[in-house]
Amino acid sequence: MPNSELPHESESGADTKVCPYCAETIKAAAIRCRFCQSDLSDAPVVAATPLSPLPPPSIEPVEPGVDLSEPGDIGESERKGRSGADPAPTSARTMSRGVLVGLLVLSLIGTLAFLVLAFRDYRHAKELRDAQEAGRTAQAAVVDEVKTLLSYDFTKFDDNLTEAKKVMTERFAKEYEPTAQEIRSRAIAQRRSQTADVRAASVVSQTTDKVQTLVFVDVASTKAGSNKQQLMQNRIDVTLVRADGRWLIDDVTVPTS
Amino acid sequence: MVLAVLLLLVPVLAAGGVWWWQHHEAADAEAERAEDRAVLNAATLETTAWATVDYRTVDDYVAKVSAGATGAFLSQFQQNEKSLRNLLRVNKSVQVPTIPNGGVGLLERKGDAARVLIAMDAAVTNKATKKPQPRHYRLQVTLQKEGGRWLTSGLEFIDAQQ
Repeated sequence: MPNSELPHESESGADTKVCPYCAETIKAAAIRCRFCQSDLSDAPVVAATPLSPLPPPSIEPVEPGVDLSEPGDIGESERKGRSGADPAPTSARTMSRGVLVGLLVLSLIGTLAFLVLAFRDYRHAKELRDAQEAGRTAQAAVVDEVKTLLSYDFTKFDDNLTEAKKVMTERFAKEYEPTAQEIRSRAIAQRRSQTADVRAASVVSQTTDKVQTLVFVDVASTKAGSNKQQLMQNRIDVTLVRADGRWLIDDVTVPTS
Repeated sequence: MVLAVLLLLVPVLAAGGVWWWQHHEAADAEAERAEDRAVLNAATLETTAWATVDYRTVDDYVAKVSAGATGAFLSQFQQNEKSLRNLLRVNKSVQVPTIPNGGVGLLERKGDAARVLIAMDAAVTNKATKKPQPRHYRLQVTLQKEGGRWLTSGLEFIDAQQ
């Protein structure tokens, strides 16, 4: 479309026009462009062109005295003008989008970080509480289990031993077997029976699946046909482990200095 | 834009709240464990002080035991101090205690009261013995928390019941 047929007014307003040299929006009545200093008295009217997707080229000021009267006779430098549309909204929108994306990323990172920390603290608290609960239940279980372990009647020793093995882990039962056979021989030879009475049980250390207890147990031993009773005040460390929801004796030691 | 920023803050704040809550739970659980340890330490120290007897340093002995005692245990100890001093001096008693590994266990702790079991061994000498005599004790220690400290309010032997 020839320049002369183009409307005099630019899309920027009724009292403004677009400089044909630098494409800046200037007053309609202006005879010199305030941006590029071009003489507009005989300059062709250039309509505003749509926004270009490319970044605006740099504007080179026009030398004073340069004859720009012939339409079309515009130098390379003059062609390098802005497209005429205001780029401010474009860059502002791009910046907002960038800020939002950045904030979204920060929000995700922050949320994840807090959740990871929360999960770690939750696991730690649960571990401690579960260990405390384990201590309590093992402390209660050890009373009957020690009685079963240390009590026997020489006339029913094998039955008593079978019952005792039920409160032991397989590992401890194997380890205890030689001791059990020694006690059996002595008990039958001396016709001796023994009764254990747990006076007190306490927790030395605890984890979720393993508890060490300190047990004060009185063991009264009598021979068949005799009223005499041999009384022993024992202090033993009994270690219990959790297996199939039950506490089983995994070790018995005597605390020694 | 402001609305978007606020919306993006919501999950962060919520997650932060969850973390704060769980952190509190973990701190509470740690505090419980620390309190159990404090009870066991206090019982061990006071029982050791009470069992460490030397007729040559009775003043130190009385001061140490009194410092960790309260309630009935303290008043009984103070009441018997004079006769105890005399007994130690006359018999030239010396007792050296040890608590073996696995010899201290928490019986229970409820609020500001606790009970502990202690298995203690000791070597006793006096003017009647030529060499140290071994002793094996089964002790139950009762403690009370006062002014932020666990103090012994009771100490008894768990002897065999006849």
